[in-house]
Formats: sequence, structure tokens, C-alpha cells
Amino acid sequence: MFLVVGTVNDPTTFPPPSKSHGSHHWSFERLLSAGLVPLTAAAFVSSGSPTPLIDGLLGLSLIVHSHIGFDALLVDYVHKRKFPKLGPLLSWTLRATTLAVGVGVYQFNTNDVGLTELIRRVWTA
Amino acid sequence: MFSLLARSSSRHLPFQTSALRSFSSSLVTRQAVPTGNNPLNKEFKIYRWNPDEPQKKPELQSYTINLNECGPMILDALIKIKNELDPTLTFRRSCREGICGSCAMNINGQNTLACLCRIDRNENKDTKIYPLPHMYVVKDLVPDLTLFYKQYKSIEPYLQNDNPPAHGEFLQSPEDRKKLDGLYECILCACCSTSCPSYWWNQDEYLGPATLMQAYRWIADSRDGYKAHRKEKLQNEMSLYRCHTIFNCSRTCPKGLNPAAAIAQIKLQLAVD
Repeated sequence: MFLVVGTVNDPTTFPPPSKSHGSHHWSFERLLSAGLVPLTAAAFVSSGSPTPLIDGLLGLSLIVHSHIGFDALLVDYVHKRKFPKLGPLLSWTLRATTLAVGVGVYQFNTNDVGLTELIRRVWTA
Repeated sequence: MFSLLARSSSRHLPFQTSALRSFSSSLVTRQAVPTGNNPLNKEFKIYRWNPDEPQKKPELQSYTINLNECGPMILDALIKIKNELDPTLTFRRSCREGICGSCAMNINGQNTLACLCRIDRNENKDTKIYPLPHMYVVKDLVPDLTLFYKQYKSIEPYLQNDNPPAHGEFLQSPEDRKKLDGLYECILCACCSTSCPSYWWNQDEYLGPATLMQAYRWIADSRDGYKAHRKEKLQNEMSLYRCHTIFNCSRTCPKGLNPAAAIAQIKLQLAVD
């Protein structure tokens, strides 16, 4: 429940300023999202090449993109100031999941056909 | 911005001398705008909650009034209900012309000012009136705006400049003045902030569209010398960046302003800082 901090005439306070939580985070998120569009197209054009660098870059970008997206969900709905136990638990679950997915995609891209080829095969299956 | 609890208006006076009558501004016969002889009965369902009976749950109370003996706006209907049917109905109102922001409420699912919202004259459909969503309710249609005003105060909504001109006032070019159009007109009715889902979930930390638009109003002011200070305050996860460009704010604004555009401008300025 919201309680008035100080008197009703005191202004609310701000968290300590941090660009990495503020504008840098936002810019990175937007540039990554915009970059995914040409990157996806490039990955499909270049799929099947012997050095699947773009395919790997697409995999990494997708993982970071979805990590930021899920993290925004957690900040919005299960922030630790309201959920002191569940909030951090879910944050660490997300980090572990992202890491595991990262390892999985790396394995898949180095030892198997790779992401783009997988989607191509499923698409035409 | 300053608003009063609606007091029960002056009683229906018996007809006395016309000189005395002219002092009574809310005489019922003066308010009525008859538009036809047949009664046009319209049902209003209004959210009621009384803090004196905290164990009783909030409920919708139904009132039926004749629209042909009522002004055209929702506020006219509310005042008519309060005057004639139920003097315990509580709401804020002041200017009745959309400049004070007191009568902000949720009418048929949309946050707006009761004084600027026309009554839907379809008598087969009821009109539902709730207080502004996701705010603590003081009574009936009166929300608690304490936090909203504390947040407005936190952005230091006044001119700050350590180097005032040697003589005379601050001068501003017409182009610089134009940057403030669409910002200064905000009446702080809180319709936009209380329509924002991000503000619903995180209003203790997120400033909300109304306050952010006023933050930008001072960032955009060519006469202000504290722009860097104002922008630095917003450099955190919660105050500004809980805006997810949902656009409910711009859609609901009863003054036709665009808080989402102002927030986008802040984000752009912070990004290129």
C-alpha cells in the first residue's frame, strides 16, 4: 500500500542517477531492435555459407533482445521493492535461462545446421 | 488545479424578489435547458463508496433523470442528481468549462472531464461513472491525488536560472516560445496519468505522463538554466523509462494535448546527451 513519505508538501524523491539504467539502456535496446530487422534478412540471404558469422550474430542479438524484453516485464510487474523474494528469484532465473539458451544456441550453431537453416527447414517441411 | 469537494448547492429558493433571485447562481430553474416536452429518462450508474462505512464494499448506484430538464454535459447531470436526488453524492467540480481540471473522472470507460463530456442521449443505454482508475478513493468520485501533486513538485516546475538578465525580464524569441505550445496548456487533471497502465502498476516510482510532460515543459524552455539537472534526475530505470509508448495518455487527454510526444522528446534528448 502506498504511504505518504514525509508530509504531503514534500516532493517525491528520485533514485540516484545512472545512465546505464537510463538513456544508455534505452538507446541500446532501440538500436538492437532496429538492427534485428536487417540482420534477420542478412542471415537468410547468407545462410548456408561456410562461415556462419551472421547466423551467430543473429542468435546472440535475439537472445539479448529477449533478455531485455523479459527483464522489462520483471521490472514492471515483479519489482523487488514489491516482491523482495520473488523479484530477485525471477531475475536470477531469467539470467540463468538466458545463459543456458546462449550456450545452447552456440552449440547448435557450431555443431549443427544453425538457426537460420533450422527455420528454413521447418518452414518448408 | 485547486479543487473543492462539491458542496451541496444552494437550496431551491421560493420565488422572491427578482433582485434577491439574481444572487442565487445555481437556481434549478436557471440551470435547466428544456429541449422538448417528452421526458427523456436516462439512467446513470455511479460509483459510490463512503469512508464512514469502510466495511461496506463500493457499489454502483443507479439514478434516473430527465435529460430534457438537464444541461448537456455529464457535470450538469451530476449536479442535478446531487441537487434533486441524492445530496450525499460527492465529486469535485469548480469551473464547469474545462480549465480547472477538478471534475476528472472515468465516464463510460474513458478518463475525461465531466464538464467537457456530453451526455449520450440514447435513453436505452446507461452511463457509468467511476472515479479516476487505480487511485485511492477519498469518497465516491473523489480520488486521492496527494502522490500526483508530490510528483509534480519533484520536477521543480518553476523557472530556474542563475544568470538572470542584467535588467528587464528574460527575453524569448517567438520560435522558442512556440516550443512551449501544447505543453503549458496542461491543467493537471490527471486523466492521462491515471489512464496509463505503467502508472497503475508503478505509480510510486514512475512519474506518469502528466508530470513528465511538465518536466519537458521546463527542459524545453529557452529561459531555464537547469536543463542538465532536470535531465539527470530522469536518468534511472523507473522515473521516465517505465513509459512503454502505450499512448493512452494522448488518447484520453481532454485538452487534446500529447504527453506521449513530450515523453518521446525527453527520451530523444537523453539519448543524444
